[in-house]
Amino acid sequence: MGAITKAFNLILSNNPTLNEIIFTTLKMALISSALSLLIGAPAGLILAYKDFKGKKAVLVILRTLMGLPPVVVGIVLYVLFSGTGIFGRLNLIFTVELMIIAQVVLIAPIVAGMTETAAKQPCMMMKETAKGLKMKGGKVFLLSLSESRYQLVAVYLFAFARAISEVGAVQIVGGNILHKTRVMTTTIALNYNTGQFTYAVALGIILLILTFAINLIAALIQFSASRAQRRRRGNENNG
Amino acid sequence: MKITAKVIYNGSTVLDVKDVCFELGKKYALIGPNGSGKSTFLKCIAGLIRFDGETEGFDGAVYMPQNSFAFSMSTLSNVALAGKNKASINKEKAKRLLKKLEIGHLAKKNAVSLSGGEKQRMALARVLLDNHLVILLDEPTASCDAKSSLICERVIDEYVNESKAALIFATHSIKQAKRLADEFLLFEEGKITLRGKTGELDSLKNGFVECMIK
Repeated sequence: MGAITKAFNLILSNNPTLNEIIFTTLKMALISSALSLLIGAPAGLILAYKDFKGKKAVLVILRTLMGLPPVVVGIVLYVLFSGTGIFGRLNLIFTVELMIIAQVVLIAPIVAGMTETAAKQPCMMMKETAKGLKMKGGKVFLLSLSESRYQLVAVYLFAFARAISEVGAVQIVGGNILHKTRVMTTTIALNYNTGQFTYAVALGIILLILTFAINLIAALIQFSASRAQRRRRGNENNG
Repeated sequence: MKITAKVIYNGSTVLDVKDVCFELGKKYALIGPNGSGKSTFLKCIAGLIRFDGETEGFDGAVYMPQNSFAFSMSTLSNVALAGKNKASINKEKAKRLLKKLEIGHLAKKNAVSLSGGEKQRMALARVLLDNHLVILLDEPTASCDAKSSLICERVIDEYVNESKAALIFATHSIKQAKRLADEFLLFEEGKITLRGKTGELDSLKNGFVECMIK
């Protein structure tokens, strides 16, 4: 109960540090989930539609990548981007940019795998028709994208939820630096480590509220889209 | 146009035909019981399945499957998307075809909500939108009622007569084969056991054909 009160007090206090942490968290989660969708969704759609030699092996690798441990990704990226690493010159270590890269490495395979699963059935159903009409690859790709649009919204929401709640990799590559790379999850972990449980839970509640808000917006968009479609159909039937 | 094809599925031969020839401007009906290889034959010509053998002259053949997919968009857009011209030209042609098939009033309706017969007429419009040398139809009127079937047949007939394309279609209706086709090919257990003019179907001594006529 104390945590809930503290959470609302924190929100209402308009604390600049907390606002900064929320802003960094949202920036990281929105960019990384969008990039993961841009990379993962086309890959998933291609896997759902195309038959090629070695497809099963690619799917096994993809399913394995879906289970990548965040800490391992964090350590590998840390080694690659630290001062002595091969990408050290880029000076990305302990930056939000590298945190985004880490999240994309983690989430893009999940998005690809989920898209492949979600789009497999519509793609299989449209395949014979599209091939029979001798449609070109680009057109088929756009049509599969359009046919899977509602599933893709769900996939994006999952990617966003995963991005906003991830802690292992971002802690390692971001370093949890105040005013620079500190995000909600790393702040919660820090407060837990220093024994400030109520504060940690309060931040957790704020994180939950943020995720709920994003899901609510997405649900409203989907709802208004389907209502507009129903209205359109109603008009057609009356007309 | 010629095709030789052998398809083996799970160890059993589902299609085995050799040097089957077709001519432009003619209409061919593929008849035969379920699982006799008609659809597989059409898919081989359309290049949709792998087979042992070769085809000659079927480039650009378009194929309408038995259960065509309706994209989640208007009926008009579903038809127009098959066109190779400018979007406005495709839409104009699509409108005309939908009217001919007597589903012009459904142009704005989402194709997903069409009935089986309406969906099949939309799919037919889609395959007949542009000029093609070979048209392959797998039971094009299976979900249509008698009146709609006749409408479809009239439109197909007009298309073939104008474009001088070759039409190859599978059907379970001997009456339709007689109305629409010049020649028939009887499929039994993956092989073509008989071929002839559709006018000869009535006098044919074949168990399947006699059963279908009755």
